[in-house]
Amino acid sequence: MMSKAEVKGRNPIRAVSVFLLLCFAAALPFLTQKQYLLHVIILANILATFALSWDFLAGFMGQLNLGHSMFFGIGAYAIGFITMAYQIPPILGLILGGLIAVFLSFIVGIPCLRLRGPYYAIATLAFSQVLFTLAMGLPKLTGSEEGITKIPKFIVSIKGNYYFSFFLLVAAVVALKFLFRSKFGKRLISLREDERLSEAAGIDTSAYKIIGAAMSAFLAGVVGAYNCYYHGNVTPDMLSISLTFSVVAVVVFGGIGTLYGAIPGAYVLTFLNEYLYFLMNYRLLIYALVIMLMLLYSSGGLLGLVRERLKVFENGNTQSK
Amino acid sequence: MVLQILISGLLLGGIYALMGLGLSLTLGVMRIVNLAHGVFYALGSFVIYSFVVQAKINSFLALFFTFIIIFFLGIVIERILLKPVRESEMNVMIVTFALAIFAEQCIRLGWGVMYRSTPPFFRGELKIGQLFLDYQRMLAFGIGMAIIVGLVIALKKTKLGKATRMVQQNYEMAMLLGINVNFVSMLVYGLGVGLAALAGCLLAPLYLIFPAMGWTPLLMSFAIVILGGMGSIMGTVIGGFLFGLTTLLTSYYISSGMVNVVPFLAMIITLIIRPGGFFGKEIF
Repeated sequence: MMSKAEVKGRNPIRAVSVFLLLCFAAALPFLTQKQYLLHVIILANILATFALSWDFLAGFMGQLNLGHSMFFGIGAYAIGFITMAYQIPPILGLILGGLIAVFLSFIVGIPCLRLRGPYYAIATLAFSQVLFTLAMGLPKLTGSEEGITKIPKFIVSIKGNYYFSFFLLVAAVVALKFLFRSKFGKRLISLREDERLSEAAGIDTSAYKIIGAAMSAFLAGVVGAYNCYYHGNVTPDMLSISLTFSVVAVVVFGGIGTLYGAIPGAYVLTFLNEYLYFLMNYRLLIYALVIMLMLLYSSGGLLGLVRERLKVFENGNTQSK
Repeated sequence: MVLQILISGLLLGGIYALMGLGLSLTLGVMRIVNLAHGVFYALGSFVIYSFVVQAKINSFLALFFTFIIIFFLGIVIERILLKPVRESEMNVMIVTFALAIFAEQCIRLGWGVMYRSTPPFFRGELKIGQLFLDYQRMLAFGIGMAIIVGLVIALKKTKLGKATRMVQQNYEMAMLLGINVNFVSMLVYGLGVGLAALAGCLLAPLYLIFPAMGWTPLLMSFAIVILGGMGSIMGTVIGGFLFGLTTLLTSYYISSGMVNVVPFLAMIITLIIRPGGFFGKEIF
């Protein structure tokens, strides 16, 4: 039996635990001297935010993007190019990174999202390969494998970056949460449930898909730009298939279409990655195995497993397809 | 020189058509978007490399063995991995994407990341005036065409071929008529990836072999299938030739690194002008 508070997603136990987690996260830089731990958490936050943007498109709207790294990478390269020539305020840089990703998403989205079927997935995969080729093949412009280096950091201290990465993650979660409560967001979700039906209900499905994809691209572009500022360089790796694949692994592992699933997924995979060096060569192999096992045995992912155990019901869209 | 490029392009196009046909079969008959198609191409190249260079088996025998191995591998994968998730198109795409990465990593671990090459089936080249045609390209083209023609005849004339086309046209009706749809799907997947592996074997002596080699052919095959129209064999073959030509033209006049750009542009333009492909039936 669900109480009214649970139906509205105001479970007090959950609210308290989220609050405690946030407090712990805020206090952590003062509790530990390990810079490396903070660095790993920043990486996990970046990955989680990026994964959220993928999950938004795939898990909530039902549009699979297999070249998502291109939005991340293009945001990063945009910062790289701009900071070489001009001095711009970093916040403007982040927004600019997002806008360029939006532009890119229109180029791929407008021809492909009008259609039903696998076209968008294939075209994004193809286009990310094109961009990767360009990044590798134009050494004068992009620095080829070396990438663009010595980009000025906008937050120098690791603590500042730690808080900023948390800010991005929490802002993304809150924004998406509000979006899904709005009418616009509910229409986006209806695309996943039954596209033909929502079209029959008078929703301009192509326009909604294109706008939704652009929003996802914006988030990815902003995170990509931030990632570029944080590391101070851009490399073609940020456009690679393996990055896209890591994001898919994070979301599928955490639970596709669950919104929060991306966070534990990103943390588990990042910590495995950074603390188990001997697994380095087997990283993608393990991701692939995880994805295949998850889809065969529990498509709800980690969060789905936990929820089954706890029988916690979320407001609305808990179930992925 | 132009003539040389045109002829080499057409010869290459035959192999692309072979690859595209494999993808077209899995896509048309099983409705599975097989993103692992390219990795089977790579696997074909590596297996024939092991047979020919490491085990020193005759090239033609090795070609046959490779096809058989990949065919059965495809069948096993279809049973274990694809059958349980077939209902959801998105899950199929994610699983085959994961499979592609998994197999690529296995190749990396098993064979190493070095660039390799295999010796050609036949050495030497035919010289007609200014034209140089090496025997390997012609042989690859010949084998590819023979397989395509054989396959088309098998699809049109044999009982199993007719059943396959029935499944392609109407899945539920085929089931009602007592066609063993699961069995047909299994065979078709094996055959589809087998054709990719054959293309990989035939092109192995002409290009370098490395673990990530499969992505360009994968996208090329999708572009061919989209351009030609899903489920149209004729369109697939014509698309194959077209891409063979454009690949060689771009790599000669622009840069071989830009070969990736061609399938993407063709795909986007086709989707804008005629989403159903140029030879398929209108689907939207």
